Amino acid sequence: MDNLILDGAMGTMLMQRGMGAGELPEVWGMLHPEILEEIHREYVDAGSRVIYADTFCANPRKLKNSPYSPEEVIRSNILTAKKAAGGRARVAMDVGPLGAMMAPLGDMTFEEAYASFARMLKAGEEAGADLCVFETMTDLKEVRAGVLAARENTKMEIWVTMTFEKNGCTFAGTDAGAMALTLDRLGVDALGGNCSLGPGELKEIVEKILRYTDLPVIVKPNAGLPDPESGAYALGSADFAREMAVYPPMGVWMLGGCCGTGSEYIRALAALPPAAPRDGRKADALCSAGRVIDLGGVRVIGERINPTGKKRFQQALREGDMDYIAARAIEQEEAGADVLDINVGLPGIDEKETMLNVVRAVQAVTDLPLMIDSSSPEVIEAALRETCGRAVVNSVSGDEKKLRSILPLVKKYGAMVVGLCMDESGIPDSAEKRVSVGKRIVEAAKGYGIPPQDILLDCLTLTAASMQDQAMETLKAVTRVRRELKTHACLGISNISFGLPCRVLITSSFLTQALYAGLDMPILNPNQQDIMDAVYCFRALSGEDRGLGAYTSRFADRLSPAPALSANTAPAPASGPALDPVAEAVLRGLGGETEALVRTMLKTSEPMEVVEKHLIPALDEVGERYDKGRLFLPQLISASSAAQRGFAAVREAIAARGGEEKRKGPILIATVEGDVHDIGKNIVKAVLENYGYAVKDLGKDVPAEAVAKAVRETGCRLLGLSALMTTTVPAMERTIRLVRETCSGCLVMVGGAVLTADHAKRIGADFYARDAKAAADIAKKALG
Amino acid sequence: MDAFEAARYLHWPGDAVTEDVLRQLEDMGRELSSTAPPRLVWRVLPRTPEGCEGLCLPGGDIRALLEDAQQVIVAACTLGEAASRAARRAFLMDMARGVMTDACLSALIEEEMDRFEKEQTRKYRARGLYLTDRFSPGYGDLPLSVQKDLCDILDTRRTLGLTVNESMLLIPEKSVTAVIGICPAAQKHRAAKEKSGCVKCAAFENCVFRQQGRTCHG
Repeated sequence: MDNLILDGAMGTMLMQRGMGAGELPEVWGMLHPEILEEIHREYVDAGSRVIYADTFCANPRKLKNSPYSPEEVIRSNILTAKKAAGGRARVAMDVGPLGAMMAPLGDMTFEEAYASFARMLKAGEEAGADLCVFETMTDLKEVRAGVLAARENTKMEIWVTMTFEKNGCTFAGTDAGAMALTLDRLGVDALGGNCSLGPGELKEIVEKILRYTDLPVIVKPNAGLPDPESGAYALGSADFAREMAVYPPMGVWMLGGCCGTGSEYIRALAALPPAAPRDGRKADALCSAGRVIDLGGVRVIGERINPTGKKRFQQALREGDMDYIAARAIEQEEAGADVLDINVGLPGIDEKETMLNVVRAVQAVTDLPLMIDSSSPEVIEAALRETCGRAVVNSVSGDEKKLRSILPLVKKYGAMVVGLCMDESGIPDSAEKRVSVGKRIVEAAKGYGIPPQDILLDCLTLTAASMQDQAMETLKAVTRVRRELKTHACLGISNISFGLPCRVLITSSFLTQALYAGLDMPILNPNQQDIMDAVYCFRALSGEDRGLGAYTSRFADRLSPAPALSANTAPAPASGPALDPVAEAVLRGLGGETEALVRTMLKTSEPMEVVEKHLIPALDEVGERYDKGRLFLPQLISASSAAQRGFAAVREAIAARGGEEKRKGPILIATVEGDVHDIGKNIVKAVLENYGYAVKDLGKDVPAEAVAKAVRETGCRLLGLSALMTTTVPAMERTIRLVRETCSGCLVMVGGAVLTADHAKRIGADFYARDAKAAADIAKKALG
Repeated sequence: MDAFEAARYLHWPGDAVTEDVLRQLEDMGRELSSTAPPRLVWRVLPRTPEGCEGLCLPGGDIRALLEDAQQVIVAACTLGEAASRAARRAFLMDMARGVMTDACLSALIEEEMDRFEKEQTRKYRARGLYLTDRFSPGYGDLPLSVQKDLCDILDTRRTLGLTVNESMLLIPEKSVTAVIGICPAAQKHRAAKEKSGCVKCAAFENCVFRQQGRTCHG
């Protein structure tokens, strides 16, 4: 394969020709077209057959304060590049990162990124760009917005290169393999790495990329790293080309340079021998931005993000309590899940909006790939757009209408799909018939360009208690679809034991048999230790767990109890008169012990008596020790969480007697607009809740209007505002003013590192809370 | 990571920290330094009357600090998104673990900056030059709004994945920027480390250590 030589640096060249520090290279290039043309022409003369126009940063954010619009800059610089190319090279519209972090970490939404990219790309296509290339990207979320914008608004070929660190990830945590997998399946035309490192350091990263794609791979590295004192790059053109020579033998034939490289580097690259052919294989995998899950062995799909039959989960969905749901994701990851199923189907909620919120919340805390579980094509598409990485759609069936509405989405977003071996006439009662429905699904998928290895056929678990004969039919079908249809097999396991005693035993037994029958992607509850034990045992016996390392480390200390995981941050030294046992347990942060003690007391005492004689005094003791500097923040939190367990037991007892639990409040809390620090606010929330108040958390970076609206809607009488930076205190002042103007009867407490009691008074607050304990004292004063 | 340093961020005096807590902090620190290793970029820029080349540094404090400086080291360090995620995960699962994680992350980034400062001091001392104290936007009267230009000049978006939001906060959160002057003679003005330096600290009014008659720098 002949190599395709790309160009070298633009910024470096512009600076050499007189562009000053702080200038925007795109605008400077537009104002000096003769210089731009000369740079491009030098590259073409040196052998570049694709040149990147000077449009890297010509985006709405960067040009906000410039007199020129993105369209003007893009048009002018592409025309200059085309003139320089003179038909000898193709001209790429160059697109870099937009310059802001994507939400949730930063403030740029997917929609904003999409709109900015679409605007730029349309201008580039109109100006006559032959293709578009996203380069120096670090966040796969942003890349996906760009790729979708290019595909949905232009007909240009799409190339993407990202900037990786030595560890094989970008700064934003995008893994090189995950980027290759995601973009390959999303249907770009070429992909690879640019900038950041020298050619030598990129080798392992390129190897990883080659594993997951059969697309052409681009390598466009820096001339080594710059010296911080002189700014000079480490490699000369000969050394650069020598290091680049490793790539053509690997089958990489799109070569160029980034920062620090010039036309002599390109000339040296053009002299490299042609690339070797590649074998056209690519690994079968799922991924998030940060992690690739290779398929092959047993991959566990966690089923717990699903409201069916779970009261607390339903409540969290209705209240938008994403923290609760995010914690369920972390829990399953820690228990050994490889993929997380996301189902938010609950009557009376907006499924699409909720799905998006849950996908965002879960992806913010775990690196596991997602399975989007919905029957609505609209919800599925919205979720696939939001999900970063390669997801699975759950599910289609043999029903024609379903196949027609969902398979195009699976193809468009490069996902995998679950195919239920049933159709509009129900679940077939024999293995034979299920396999034939599976075959129909595989055929239909093929028509959309979805190969069998992208399908997980679900041969359906029926309840053994009512349909005993069906268990074996399911297992037979699993074996046959794996062997005959070459798909993956998934199966919801838990249903088998419904209505039977000792469910976990029959469930894990069925799981083991199904795994042996060929099941490779079980859907189960990973928090059940016995079930995961069965998975580990199977992996050990099947040889997947080579050397039995995973088995050994899971079971090595099974006989001795595992140490407690809670942050039991040291017992508070007992001093003075002996403490009440509840107080002792609370002070030590022992939630389980506190709860047990309270439960015992509730057998003989009235609930309120337990609260007043034990729990409240315990919290008072905690507060006093904290104030005296004998107890510290983590201990305060542990202690109040322990007390919370006690309160929960009391509430349960009251409810059991038909009484109604009454929480004081509500108290609204928020971190003000512009401020993203929420640690302090979260601690205050936890402590207030543990002291028995209902707290509504509005989150961080909350506009004044939203706070005032929430105060009016809830009729709350105490509002807590947090600001950590001097720059965001004015937003706090504005919020207080608005609340005063538009709401009545609400007291305001404020806190945050830069505030003082004086300062708080000056900006109109009623109280200054120096810490969480003080906030609880204020709440007591304000609400009782 | 120095566990006592992390305890200090929890306003926990060294003599009150138990073995148990120290061990927990140490374990966390070890894990975090591999999941969220610090990344640092720096440049040496010529001194100008406004600050240094390409960067205006307003305010009396920084002017005094850089009075004799001929060059200025401009540095930025971040623990990256991995740190934000680690903290968020810890908070979700156990609030107490969350605050300890946060404290460890603060200690880690501070240690990295200290290490960098020491390394530079050694290097420049060997050349017969002296460094001023390290000074960051937000200290004294050096406004936070300097963050934007400072990050631009180090191209931190590209080199570190570090940006500045509209409120001049660094994103990801566990990030630090700083300037250090390079002088021909030992500096006369000590900014942060002498007792008088505390007055210039943004946390002066609320400083828990000061209320206890201590300082944060031992």
